Amino acid sequence: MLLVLLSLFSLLASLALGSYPIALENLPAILSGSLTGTDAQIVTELRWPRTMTAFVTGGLLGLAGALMQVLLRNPLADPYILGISGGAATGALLAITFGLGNEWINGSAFSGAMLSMLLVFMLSHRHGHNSHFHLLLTGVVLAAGWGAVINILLILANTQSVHSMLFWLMGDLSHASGPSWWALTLLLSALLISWLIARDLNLLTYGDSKARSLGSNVRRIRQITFIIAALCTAIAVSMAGSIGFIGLIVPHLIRLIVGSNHRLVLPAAVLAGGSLLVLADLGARTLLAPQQLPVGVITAFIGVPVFLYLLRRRRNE
Amino acid sequence: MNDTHRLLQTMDLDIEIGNVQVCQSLNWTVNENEVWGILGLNGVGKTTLLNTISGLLEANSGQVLFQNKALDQWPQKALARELGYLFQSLSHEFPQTVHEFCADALYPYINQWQNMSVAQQQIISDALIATEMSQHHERLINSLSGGEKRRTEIAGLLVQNPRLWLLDEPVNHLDLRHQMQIMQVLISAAHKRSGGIISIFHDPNLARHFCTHILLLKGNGNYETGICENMLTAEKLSQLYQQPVIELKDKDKSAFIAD
Repeated sequence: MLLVLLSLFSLLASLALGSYPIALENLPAILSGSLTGTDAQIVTELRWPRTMTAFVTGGLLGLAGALMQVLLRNPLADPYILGISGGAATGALLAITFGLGNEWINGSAFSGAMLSMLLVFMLSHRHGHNSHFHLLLTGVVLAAGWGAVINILLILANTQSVHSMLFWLMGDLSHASGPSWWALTLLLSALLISWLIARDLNLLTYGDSKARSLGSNVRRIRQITFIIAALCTAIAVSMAGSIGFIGLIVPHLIRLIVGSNHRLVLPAAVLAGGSLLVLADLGARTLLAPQQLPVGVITAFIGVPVFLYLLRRRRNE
Repeated sequence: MNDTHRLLQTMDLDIEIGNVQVCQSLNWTVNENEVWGILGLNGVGKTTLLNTISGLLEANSGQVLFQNKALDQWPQKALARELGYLFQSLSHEFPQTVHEFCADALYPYINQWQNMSVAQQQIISDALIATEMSQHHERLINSLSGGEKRRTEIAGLLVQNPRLWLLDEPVNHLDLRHQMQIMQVLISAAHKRSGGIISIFHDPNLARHFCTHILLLKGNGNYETGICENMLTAEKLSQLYQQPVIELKDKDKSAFIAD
């Protein structure tokens, strides 16, 4: 409940504030279309798409992080640990190297993420003992491989593209285009599907054997979880680059607050991830306005202290 | 015994893991109201045998029938309502509470759309009372002592409430009082469902106190089954553990100790 309020608050704040502030009482009129003019134009054409993108991206990362943590049985896993973002980054940087436009960068990032996801899936397709361990190692090694490719691209790039490359790598929402309804739809379907296997996810946290002995179809659940988590990650990074910390901090924080029942954890992670990224993006475009910061820098600045604080005072201890 | 009383039957079961031959052509029947103890040296394959008859591992050859139906013919959720497994140890990587763990054990009885019913809430509190974990139900499992963790896992199994209970060293980490009390709780829970128990023990005295039947795993695929009195003798145990064991008698009680 609290999270729903937080989400609404962050959305409104993000629409109203910026280098050109807009009166809060004008927002309802602008959103319903009855008010026009410069204010309305700024909100509907600039801030609304960007806020939406931030919220959806944050939600996707929160969900993907929660799923990835269960899949790898590690509460410190994040959506990028299996190299999916590395594949996306390689794709995006290639597109930047060739001087292609934003749509191409996003598309190329998405293809890279999909390629990476397929590689991990095929290479780690072995079930039985320690399947999460095998998956983790495969992903981490692939991520390291992508890292090397990224470095080569950075070294070979000319000065001007290095700037856009770094922005992309740190995560950046400044070229968000259009309110991506399809991404929102995807987020909601991913949430619905994973909510339907939430009880299975609860069991998976105790290990594959325990989950099977309680009647869960572990192999199928692991496959579904991997695909949803990978897709969410792929879409998030292709929209906004590899924004760090949301996928790690948000699910972790949510577990400390609402407990470990994934029927609550998953929707809460979506709302919290969305709100947090919206607020972080608000910071990114206002703190040094008119200069814009990559939003990934803000999430790290928020994420690190919050995380350290949470580690110190864990629930019930 | 007719078929409806037969819980588990293995037919010519061969299990080999790594280079350990666990059992060779094991023909074994477990009927309702029987409490079986499995004894044997470390590494002889006791846990592997439980993994196989629970369906987690496949046997090299032979068949396992559970309630007269091949194990792999059972739908998974239906099987989980009839066959429960207490693992030797679980690792808890996520911050779950005792109550959350027990609630998750309702999985085979609940579908994704349902919330817990009042009756199911009651099942959980009964299990927590039986294992004396009620006052700890909001605590994180990782903050519990070894014995309390064990009792939490047993509470989860009580919630699952199967007909055949597979127990891998159930009294691990439990103090003397809880060893006796928890075994009693498990046996009466099994009796309530006209079920049975198959449990791994390292203490022959505890096994004799609670078991009706014993399976001795002797290594290299050899085994012996029989009723408790015939299996638990000083001579057989000395042979099994490759360590002299004597039986001390005092009035009507007696105990095995290593010599």
